[in-house]
Amino acid sequence: MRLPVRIILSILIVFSFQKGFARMIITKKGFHCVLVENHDLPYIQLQAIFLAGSFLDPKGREGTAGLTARSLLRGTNKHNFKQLTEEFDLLGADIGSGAGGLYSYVSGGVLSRNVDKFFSLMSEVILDPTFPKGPLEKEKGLMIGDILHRQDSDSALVRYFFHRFLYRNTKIGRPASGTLESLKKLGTKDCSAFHKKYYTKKNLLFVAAGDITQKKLEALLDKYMGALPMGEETLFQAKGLKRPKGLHVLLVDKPNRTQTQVRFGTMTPGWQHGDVIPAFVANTAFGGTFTSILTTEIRIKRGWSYGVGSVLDLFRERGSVGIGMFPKVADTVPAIKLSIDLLKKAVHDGIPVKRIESAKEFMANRFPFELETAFKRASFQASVFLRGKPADLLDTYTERVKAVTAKQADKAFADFIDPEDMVIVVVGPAKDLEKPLRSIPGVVEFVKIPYDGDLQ
Amino acid sequence: MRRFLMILLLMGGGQMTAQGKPMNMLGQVNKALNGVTQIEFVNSHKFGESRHIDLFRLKNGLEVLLLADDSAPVFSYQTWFKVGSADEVKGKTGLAHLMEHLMFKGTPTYPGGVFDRLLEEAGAQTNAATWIDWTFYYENLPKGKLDLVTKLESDRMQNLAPKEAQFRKELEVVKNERRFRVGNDPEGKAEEVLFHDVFGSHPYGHPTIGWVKDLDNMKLQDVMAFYRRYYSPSNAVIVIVGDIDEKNALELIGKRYGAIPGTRVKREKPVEAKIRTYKPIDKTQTMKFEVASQSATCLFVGPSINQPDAYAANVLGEVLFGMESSRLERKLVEEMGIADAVDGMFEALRQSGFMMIQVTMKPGQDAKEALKVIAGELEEIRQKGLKPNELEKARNLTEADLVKGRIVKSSVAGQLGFLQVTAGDYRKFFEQLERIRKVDNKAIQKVIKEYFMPAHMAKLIMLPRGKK
Repeated sequence: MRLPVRIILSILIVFSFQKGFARMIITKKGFHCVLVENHDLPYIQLQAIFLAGSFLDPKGREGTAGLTARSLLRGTNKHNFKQLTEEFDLLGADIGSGAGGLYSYVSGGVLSRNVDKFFSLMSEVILDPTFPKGPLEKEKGLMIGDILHRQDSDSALVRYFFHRFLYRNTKIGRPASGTLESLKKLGTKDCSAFHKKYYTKKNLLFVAAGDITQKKLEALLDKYMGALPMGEETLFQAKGLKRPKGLHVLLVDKPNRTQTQVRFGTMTPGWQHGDVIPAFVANTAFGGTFTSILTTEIRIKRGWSYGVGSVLDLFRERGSVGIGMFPKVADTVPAIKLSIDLLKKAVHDGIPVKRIESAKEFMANRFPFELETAFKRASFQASVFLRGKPADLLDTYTERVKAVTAKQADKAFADFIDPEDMVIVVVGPAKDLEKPLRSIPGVVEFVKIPYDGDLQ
Repeated sequence: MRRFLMILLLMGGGQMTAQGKPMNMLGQVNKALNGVTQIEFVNSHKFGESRHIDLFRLKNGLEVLLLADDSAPVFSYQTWFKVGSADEVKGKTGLAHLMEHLMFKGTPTYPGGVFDRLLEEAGAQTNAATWIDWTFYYENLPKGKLDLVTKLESDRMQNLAPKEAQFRKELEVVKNERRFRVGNDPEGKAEEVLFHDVFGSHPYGHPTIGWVKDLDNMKLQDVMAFYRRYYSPSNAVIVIVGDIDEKNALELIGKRYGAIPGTRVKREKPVEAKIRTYKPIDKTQTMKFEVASQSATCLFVGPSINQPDAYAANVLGEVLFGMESSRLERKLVEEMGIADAVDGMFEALRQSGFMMIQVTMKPGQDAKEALKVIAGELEEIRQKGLKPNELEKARNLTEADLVKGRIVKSSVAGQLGFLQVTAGDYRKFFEQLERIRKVDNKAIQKVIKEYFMPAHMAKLIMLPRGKK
């Protein structure tokens, strides 16, 4: 994996934090690793992250990254699926694999006395999978099951469709799960080709945390994974991602509901934007805590929704803001309208200084929890590399938060969010919701699909 | 797949003597408290190589569990009350949970919203939970915030004063939560129906979130009466785990809580639920929902937390549904290919335990087949016992789970509080691994015969609405 210049420089930095520390290592054979040692407990967590997400799926063959990652455990040249699961369970180990939009991963945890055997098996599934036809069909069947069972959960549906609707017609908007049609086309050749091309050393970031030394980790990586090909780096480029204009409503019709699931929001800049921390401060004040503007108005004052909040999810160049809640059917449109009005007020008039200061205190003081365990520290540092966060963020986060002014926070919030240009996704009964949803001022597009359907 | 352990643990040495460090420190603390209260040392247990857990008791009955651990600059502060939905009476279900919501609505000193704001500004992660046997409140905080949290928590333990308007709004929030967890969720709905079926009029037979009719009729006076009855220091355990100074912590707790009167709380004695016999699988009750395929949920009464059988039930759960190579996963998903997922849990509670298994079928597959497989596997284990490698896998996975449960401070605090409140002794934390290691086929077969016979299985099949 090639890392941006400022990240390579940071490799030499040793981050100190109490008894543990996050270290970036490049082994003799060229593996990039984040390591946090902690020998208090005899347990190790390991994660191999490949820059091989579903954005790399060939068009019409959505689900390739997901099927490849999930099928790593379906058989190697030495072990079949049954033998592998038996071996991992005998070690008392966890193992899992999967793919999201940007990355694929294999991760697990094991008692430190069993790490050699675990590492050997984990490396085997990463380097030497065979994607045999029968077991691959079995895994496809389970992926199809996941797609169908998404219908069972309204919250799963709203998460899925918010992402799909926001990123329509872009690579990142393709369903990582695949579709019922695309999965039918996939087979051993697809997975083998995807694996060969993208499961490479340049695409790999290895994360290790817990009861393991640097010497041991390097030895294990070089011994068991040394044969991983160098390959080419495939960092996601966010070209062509454009914020929607006007309000676009997607109603996922699910009859017989007494409650809806709502998510609305828009695309934002990513970590490479200079004002990310001020944007996070503003978002925290707006909808990130139990005393935020959104929670106060929706839950505390009106009792409309048990859960409500606003989340910023950023990657390198782009990201999204998503506001979620689950009011009863009759309260749904009033709750959306009120939330949009609150958002407009926050963006146009600014957020009260007192709330900004309170949000800063919250963010700065809670930061130690991001670093409480070895694995959290390692994950934080890994996200610095993967999401393009400032290389020194672990050391400077608190100062950066404290330095934000109300003016900076307001400006950043307005840069990140435009309440006039958003997508709104609602899962609920169309007979009650269609008319009032269409009446929301600023709606330029209205799409309705059944809950067992999908977007084109 | 989710794996649940009834409780977690790990190794450690013997108990500290009463002549150890806590006694020396306690004398200084009591002197500093100057008669506000008297704190007594109850017992202590070694935790790993260099740390120890100490249990203290104030004169008003408040129990305090302390574990100083400076491995990260944070600590978890938890307040556990020995009350849950099992303590509710007919017509007032949902009261314990509603009480939990109202605990955030303020006191004369810290009116509504101030409690949350002060804690948020301190960097706290804060929330609460209610279950059948307990209610607990937690604050995870950066070091140095003990003064603040003791001030706020001790205040709301004695001075809660929600207003009628706040109560009405929060009741709507709770009804909304019910729609989310039960009304619009097929798994939640199935669980509610089966718990009522299995436990009937036993205190475990009604939902913790309450029946709709009872919520509709709830009054603020009901909540305040419940508060006065159960939210007494004599009915509570405070657990603090993390970067604290033990002496300072005890002084603060003595100062803040010491003067609160400890009223006597009478809790009903545990009554083990009766095991019923159910109709055969082909007469299983059904329900319709907006789901893609059929699913089968079954529920058994199990051993309670203080019964030795609970360890065997735990191992049985691991082997049936708890691991990647579990019997039900392998048979239903891999070999027969009729199911997409198998989930399960065993939980040992104060009065009884339960084991629940849920199987999500592939579209077009009949959920009765899954129920037959579950019954068949139990019968086979009853007759032939487990294979040696199944016992070994269950032991190893349990050990790994127990170690993992010690990584995060709030998780350790949660286990200690849970055990002290539900089992009556936090030191059970240290017995788990040895007990699990001792489980053999005889114990497994015994627990099946007593609890998990196919005839003891309450069953519900969820059918896709509008589909055959």
